[in-house]
Amino acid sequence: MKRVLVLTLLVVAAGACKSKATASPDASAATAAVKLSDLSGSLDSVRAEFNAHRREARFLTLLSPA
Amino acid sequence: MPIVVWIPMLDGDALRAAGEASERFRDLPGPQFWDGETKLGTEVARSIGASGWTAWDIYLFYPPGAEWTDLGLPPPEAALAQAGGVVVGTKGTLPPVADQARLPKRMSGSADVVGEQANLEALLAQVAEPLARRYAAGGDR
Repeated sequence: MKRVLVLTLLVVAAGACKSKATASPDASAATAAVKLSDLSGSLDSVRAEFNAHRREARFLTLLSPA
Repeated sequence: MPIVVWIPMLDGDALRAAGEASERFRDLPGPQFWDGETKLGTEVARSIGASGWTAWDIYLFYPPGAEWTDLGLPPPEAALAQAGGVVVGTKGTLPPVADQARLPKRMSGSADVVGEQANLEALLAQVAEPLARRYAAGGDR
């Protein structure tokens, strides 16, 4: 139930920040594993991603996986 | 552009669980991260004036032009979080409810109670939809 709610929230929020992106995966994305970048070393990778899309609205969420 | 970050805050939270959870959001057009040492949770809390907290169950919106400088993550244009059994919003995100007694002390002065946890989805929509319209129209604030 919680996961359904979270997914709904993310879709709503992503709608506010979708810019040029699309929510429809292509065939290759459907079979590839989701890349989960580890921030344990530093926050540089998420900072770079945040700034790479500076011209767009951005939505950031921090969630517990449980 | 959505950025999803998984952070270990509850029993059972681990990288493996985050990997499984991330699969559910694979269609979202944006990167996903694992904040195993809660560094980003700490930084997000600082950015919204709640230093000493680890931010989680939180949804933050940044306008075009917002930049993460050497000074840190900028404050969001709007943010909602679940805390203390209620939904809190950074100042100006949504109108505060009359009863602010359940506002966590660490957020006093930087956030308001804006609704009940059960209404999180509707509250998020109240924030996201006007922003979506404004950004779609080319406005940046």
